[in-house]
Amino acid sequence: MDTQRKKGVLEICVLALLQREPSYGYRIVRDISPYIEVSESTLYPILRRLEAGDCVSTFSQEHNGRLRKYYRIEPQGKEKVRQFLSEAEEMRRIYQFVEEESK
Amino acid sequence: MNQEEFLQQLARELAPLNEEERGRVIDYYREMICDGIENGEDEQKMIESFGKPYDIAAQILAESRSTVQAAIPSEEENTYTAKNPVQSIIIDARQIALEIRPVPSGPVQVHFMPAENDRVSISEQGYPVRFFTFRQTVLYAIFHWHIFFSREQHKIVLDIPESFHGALSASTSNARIGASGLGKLSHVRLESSNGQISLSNFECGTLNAKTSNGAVIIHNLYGSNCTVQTSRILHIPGRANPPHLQQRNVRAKCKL
Repeated sequence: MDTQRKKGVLEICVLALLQREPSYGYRIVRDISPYIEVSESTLYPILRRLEAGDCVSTFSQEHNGRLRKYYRIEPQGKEKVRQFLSEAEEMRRIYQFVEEESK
Repeated sequence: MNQEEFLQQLARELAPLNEEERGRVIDYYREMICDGIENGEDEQKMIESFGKPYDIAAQILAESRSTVQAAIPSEEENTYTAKNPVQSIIIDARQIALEIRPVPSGPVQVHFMPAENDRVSISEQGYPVRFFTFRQTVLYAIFHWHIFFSREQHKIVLDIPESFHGALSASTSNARIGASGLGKLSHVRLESSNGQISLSNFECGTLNAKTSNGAVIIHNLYGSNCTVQTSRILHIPGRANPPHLQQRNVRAKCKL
């Protein structure tokens, strides 16, 4: 997959995951990697960008005597997921067209 | 490499960032390693899987530049100026027209007004040959394909001073490239997959212009080694003087 496109898709995956409940770096990688290839090092810039764009906010919670950073989805992030889903139908039609024409 | 060595090296590579941003990255990786070890992962192996500190930092630094620039309000035109003398210019753009124009003096400059989905990065690298790279990408391109049709007015303008005799490599996909009045460039490579390429009063050592579906229009081209490729229209009226102009894949009429 093209890098830019993959970054966009990864952002959406992270946001989708966070809709269920806030999560932290290590768990996000584990939860998403069955569906899309992601590493700790690719996740960082994505989380940073989502945070900078107010799509997620962060808070710290104590765990085993240290602080763990949690990411929580914000209204802007939810809007992004909604937008992605609303475009999915359009994309499906385009894929179908491309597929048909490629037969 | 153990945890502390890794984090120290990473912090060094992230020196261009401010302390807060650097702290965020270090905290992130420290937390990752702690969580990994708690889950029975091998510290060493985990650190290896992160990649080299240099590569991690390069990605983060590139990102931080484009985030900063993307934050500039899109209402006003932005100018990106080469800070050092440049020998080679690289423009890498998507879905956006490129206009190249000569300026009497001054540095190499790019004028560009980023739209909402544009991400821009510039870099200057290399020694002794200095590259100035301007890269523009469209975020979420695939999900906002309809915006491609409303980008007519949107373009990148590249100013090249007359004193510049180096190389230029420019690619835009689906958009036109235009240049006029440029003199004495050494190597020029222009590529647009679907756009028109038009050149007038253009002088260079080597020219390689390629577009798969657009027209190529050339007025007064002076060059010793010119290759033009298009599957559409190749139009060279007037006094064109390229001795070794090759026409490949030219389906339409061609005047020389």
